[in-house]
Amino acid sequence: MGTLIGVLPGIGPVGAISILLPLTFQLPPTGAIIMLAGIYTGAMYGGSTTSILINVPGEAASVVTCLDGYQMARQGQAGAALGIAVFGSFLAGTIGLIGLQMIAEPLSFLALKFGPPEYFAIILLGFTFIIYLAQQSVIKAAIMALTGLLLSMIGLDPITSQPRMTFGVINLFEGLHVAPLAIGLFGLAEVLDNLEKAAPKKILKVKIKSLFPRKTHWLQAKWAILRGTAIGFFMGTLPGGGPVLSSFISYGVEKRVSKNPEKFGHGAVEGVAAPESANNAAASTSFIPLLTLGIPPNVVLAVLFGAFLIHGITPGPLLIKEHPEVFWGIIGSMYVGNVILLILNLPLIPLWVQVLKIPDKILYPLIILLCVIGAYSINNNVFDILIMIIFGLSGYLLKKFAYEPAPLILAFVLGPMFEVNLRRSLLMSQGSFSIFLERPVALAALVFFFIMVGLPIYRFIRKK
Amino acid sequence: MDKRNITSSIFFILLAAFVLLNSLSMGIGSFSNPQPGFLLFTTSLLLMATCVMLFAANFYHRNTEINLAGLWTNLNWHKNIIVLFSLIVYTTAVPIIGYISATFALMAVLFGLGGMKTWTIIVSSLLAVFLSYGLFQYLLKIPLPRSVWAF
Repeated sequence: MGTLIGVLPGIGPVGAISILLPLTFQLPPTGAIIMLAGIYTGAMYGGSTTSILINVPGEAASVVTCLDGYQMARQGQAGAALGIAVFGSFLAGTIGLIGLQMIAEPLSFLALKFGPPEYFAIILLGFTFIIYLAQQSVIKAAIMALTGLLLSMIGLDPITSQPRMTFGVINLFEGLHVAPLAIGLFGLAEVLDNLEKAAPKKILKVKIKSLFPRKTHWLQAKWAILRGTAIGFFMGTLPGGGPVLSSFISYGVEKRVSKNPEKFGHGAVEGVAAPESANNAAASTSFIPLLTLGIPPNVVLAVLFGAFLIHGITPGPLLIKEHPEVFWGIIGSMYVGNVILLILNLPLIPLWVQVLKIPDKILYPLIILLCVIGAYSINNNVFDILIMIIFGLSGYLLKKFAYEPAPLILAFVLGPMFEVNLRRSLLMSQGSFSIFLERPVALAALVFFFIMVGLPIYRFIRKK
Repeated sequence: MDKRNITSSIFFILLAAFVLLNSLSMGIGSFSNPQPGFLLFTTSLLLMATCVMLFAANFYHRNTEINLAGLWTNLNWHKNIIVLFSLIVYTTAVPIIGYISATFALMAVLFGLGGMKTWTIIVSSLLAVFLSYGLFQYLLKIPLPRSVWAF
């Protein structure tokens, strides 16, 4: 299902996980989370297929794959491009999983010692990363993150239970749920954006001779796969990083280190291998902050965080202790998923090509229907459909005005944790900010925060 | 001047001002005893400051010229209006006429936008309604909205 989502342009993993959330309601929590994690991993694999065959990325992390993947396909090397993408994804995803397995447990034990000041400082640093690593304007990313933070405060106050920004609407007392927001911003908004363009898809008529890359392809791609994996591994753990950014960075790095940078954009194997490896490694390691600290580093995991809560599980340092079956289930299933995707993806490529031929006039109404049911089924409440429509329109307008919705969702999910830990810290210290300086982890996070905020200001002043 | 940034920054300034005023009525408290409006006040103040920066940066930057009307030129934006309007009507109608009737009407409008033939629209809408009803109502046990006549 994840690969199908990845293949279909117009709906990415964020929208897909939110829309498909109701499918997991009848499953036990472990099975539900594993299914959603599988959709995420599968989408990372599937995204490259459309990038290579029709020059339309199935999801944002495969945007950069279009540059060389499509050119390879035009030169009659579609099979090799698809093969390199899948094998690179498999290797990177597996290495990322090994890292996740090795780092998660010790980090969880360390995180058990964290109190409100540490959490506040880490989330504050996370916000800074989210804004700093934005793909477009940093100021606009800050506006989005602050708006997300404001939206997270709608509902009853977490400490005094006083209603805030509810305007007497009972449905708002429990606050907004992340799923209708994400479905609106990433599902409906995406459909609206595509619907008005109405450009017919052009599927390249290629004969896929062999999906197994030749020895020359491997020789060209081996270092790109390794570098992409290393970049994805690191970027996946950073708040605001994740698969999308790591694919762009790895492509840029590959072009810079290449002896023939002029080949990039004209069908370079490295241009497919590096971003596809990076986004899969990042998809695996982005689970590290979620499963150990309870902090989702990117927007897909922010929605997954909401799914955890719906199923009565709170991700964080206690997850390994309280729900070991969920923790190890996710890791185990991702190993199995990687192998299944490797085995299934290549033979199923002809099927995915057929899926791509579904006309938009049939596909988009069905996606809208799934958006409606997905939003409704969270609380079995029509009010959530209305919220989804409002955020669908907002997402469409945000896109028009060149704003990224991802910082909004991330800040929205992190908002309640941020507020509670800030207020608890201040209550503990009776209003003294020195509490953040007395704890080494909080101090280190704040030092990083001030460096990240101060450095651009210092550069700006020096430039003037 | 990028009018997208000018317009959006004014919108967000107004939004921040609205939240700021509301937070004052909730009570801000003090650092030693932060009240429910504390973070709302701080965040809206920061949002306002950031938007003022965006506004100022664009107001004095005259090199680029992006008009709002250009964002919708040569696009089928009327389709989006129909979709949004149908969805709003749907949310009003579904608690009254129930999932099956409301969804059939919604799907007929949405499939109709693609310029399909009438009988194809009817068949596709019926298929979409009954397949989704079967999947969510019976297989996944999600109680879909019923009409006031209980079907």
